[in-house]
Amino acid sequence: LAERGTPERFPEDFLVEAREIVQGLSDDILALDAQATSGAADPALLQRIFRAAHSLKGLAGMFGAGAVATLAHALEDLLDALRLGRERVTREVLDLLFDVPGVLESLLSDEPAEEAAAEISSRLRAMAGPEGPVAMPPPPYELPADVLEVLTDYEVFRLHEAARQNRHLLGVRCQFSIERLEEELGALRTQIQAVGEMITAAPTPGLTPGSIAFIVLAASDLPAEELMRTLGHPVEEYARTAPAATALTEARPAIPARTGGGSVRVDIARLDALMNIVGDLGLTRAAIGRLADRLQAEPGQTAFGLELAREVRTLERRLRMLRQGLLEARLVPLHPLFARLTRVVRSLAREAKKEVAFSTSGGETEIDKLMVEQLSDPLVHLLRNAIDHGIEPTDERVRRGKPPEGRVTLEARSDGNRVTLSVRDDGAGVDLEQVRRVAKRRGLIPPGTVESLGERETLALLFLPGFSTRPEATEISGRGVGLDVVKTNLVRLSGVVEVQTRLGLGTVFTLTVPVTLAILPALVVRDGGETLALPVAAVVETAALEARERGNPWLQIRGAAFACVEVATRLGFREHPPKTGFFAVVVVVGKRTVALCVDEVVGQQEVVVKPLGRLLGRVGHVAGVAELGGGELGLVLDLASLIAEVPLS
Amino acid sequence: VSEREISTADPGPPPDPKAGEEAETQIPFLVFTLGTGRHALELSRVREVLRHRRPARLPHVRPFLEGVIVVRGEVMPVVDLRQRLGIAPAEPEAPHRLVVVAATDGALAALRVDEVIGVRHLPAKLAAHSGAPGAPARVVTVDGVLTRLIEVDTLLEWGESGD
Repeated sequence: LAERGTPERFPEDFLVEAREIVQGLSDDILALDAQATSGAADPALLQRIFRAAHSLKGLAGMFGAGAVATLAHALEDLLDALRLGRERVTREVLDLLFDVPGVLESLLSDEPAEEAAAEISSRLRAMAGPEGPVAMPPPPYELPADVLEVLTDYEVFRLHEAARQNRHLLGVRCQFSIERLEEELGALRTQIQAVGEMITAAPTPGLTPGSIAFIVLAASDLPAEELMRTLGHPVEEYARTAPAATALTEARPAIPARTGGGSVRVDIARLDALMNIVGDLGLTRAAIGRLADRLQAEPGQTAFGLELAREVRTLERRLRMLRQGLLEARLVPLHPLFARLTRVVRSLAREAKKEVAFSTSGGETEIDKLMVEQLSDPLVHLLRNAIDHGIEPTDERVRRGKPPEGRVTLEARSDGNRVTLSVRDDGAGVDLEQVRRVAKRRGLIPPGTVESLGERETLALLFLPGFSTRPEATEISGRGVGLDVVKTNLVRLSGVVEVQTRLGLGTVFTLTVPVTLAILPALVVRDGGETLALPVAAVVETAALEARERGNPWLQIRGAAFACVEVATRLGFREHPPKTGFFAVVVVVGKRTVALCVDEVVGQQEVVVKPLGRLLGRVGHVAGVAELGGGELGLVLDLASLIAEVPLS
Repeated sequence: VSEREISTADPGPPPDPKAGEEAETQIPFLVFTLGTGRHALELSRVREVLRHRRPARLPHVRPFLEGVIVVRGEVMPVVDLRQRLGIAPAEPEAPHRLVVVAATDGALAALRVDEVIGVRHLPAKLAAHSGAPGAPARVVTVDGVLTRLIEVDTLLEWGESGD
């Protein structure tokens, strides 16, 4: 695609749409200027400009119009800061905004404007202040849960503004016929704006066919009774929450200053090489440690030995810091991936001919660069599913009393060593009954067991290979294509995927993956003559058991029963375990708890996990291989796949 | 197709290219045995020859994949060349060497062979792969001895590792 925005390379429909957006922008910026000169800027107008910049960014990104996308992005950033109150609409800001539509128009026509665009982009960015989203504190009013769920950051910000002005927050319950929806909602908006601000209109479960019920949030100086008289709809008032907990300024996190030119790009292979050296140093440290032990046992050398041992501990501490530092160097924010996915969603929605409002949060969450690349495919899969199978066609949504635009959100959250990503839609949800029916008909579950399947077991059927590839899958109003592929990908990343759904309300897929696969605190065990490493994070306990217990499919350990996996047998290294004393390592992966039976537990060790390489590609149950010292290798097991087929209970 | 008589300058330096326009260009090959058979592969593909080391076994992979080893930080599969070429496997404890070879893209693999004989210079055109598509080895005659030439890239393409 064109790197420089020469217009003849862009398709006509891009130009038409982009010019339309720019025209709107131009009008709105003029209006903003007029307003700001005469008083306060209208938040709705800022919101509209923000959305226009956002749409333009997405559109330009999709068509590879780099300069337009960059400029639109910078504009979006500044508008985001303005609409969320991080920056004020000053004369200086207005002057800058004024220049934007002209430059955009030049980019979209024959004139060379790349330099002007770069220049104005950087000025916009400078004015937008530090990058990075501000975590929005919870709304300062006690709102019903279904309203809380649908609020955008911007709406929450408006709620804070309303609280700051000591306004009443009122919920107007109303119902409109579908045919006259826009008109009637518009009329209500006008009425409310005469006495305050309309913050949002959240659809609520409808009562009458052919009409849609809403709770309209209004901030006003008028108390509930007065507003009720004015509007002729039932009005309820929402109380303020404790003010200390919601003060916007206190909740704003300190954003580290990003000074320009302070970063370098490093090839991940170099980091891997450094990590290998650190791994080798760890082995050297272990060897010196053993020497220190021997010295201590040597008559007359004990003092030397102790001194050496102390130095070895210092070395170990510094090595750990070095390893941690290297690890952090591998981490990158998810932001670029999210931006790419935003474009993907846009084109998917267009393909599917559906109206989709897509939003992301947590893009600042950091994760191993390699992990980012691996996450792209599964996320695209889930987003495609949400749009194709989750979000209903517009007319159906309207009929069900939902906003015509389907909401799809992508959220990332860091949780210590793991990152959780969720793809959420407010679509049709998964019809569990239908899943059971299809599974029964397809023979995926034994006859007679269908009725006993709980929600979780039923949803697990969705991830079975082949479940969705047959034509029957289209009958399922919820999910379809290739969830088994998503699961396989996740398992390869030592991750898990989980799903929650509510019929008619939507579905959430949650992916949990480790921040990095490069280094792993491991429990080293031996089974069937092979040395194996398990991630310590998954290990709950280990227990030494007697020979007579070996081979039982279930084990009692300190009063609890666990399903048992004979590791070497599962890996195909031997047929049956020997009847000898052994160890059970209890591990938890996702929601499964399983006892892994092994011949011997060697001990705990931090290992550098190396991938098996291109020639071997993916090998089932294996996350990689690690050098354990003394020339010994350990296969690092992928627990998620190892215990995947173990019965749940 | 490529069965023909070839005479070679036994080990020693490559022949002087100026010795005559007629003389074919010769390049070095590593010659080794598998059972009673003689085998050769282009020396430019060989990174090193190692003594036996115990690989970490892999679950549920093709029988010719013995496992993986790590050599100076690089992970590589150990390929039992006998099994890969359809020759009866040797005793696990039988003496052998590991020949580390590189695919065109630099990916490394260790080939388990019985005995390394040494380096021989053979006509360069032998290196050009002209065997049946997908065949990792083809037979030529070197000094009157049938010799299988190993085509490294084909050898290292085995599709999915699982069985």
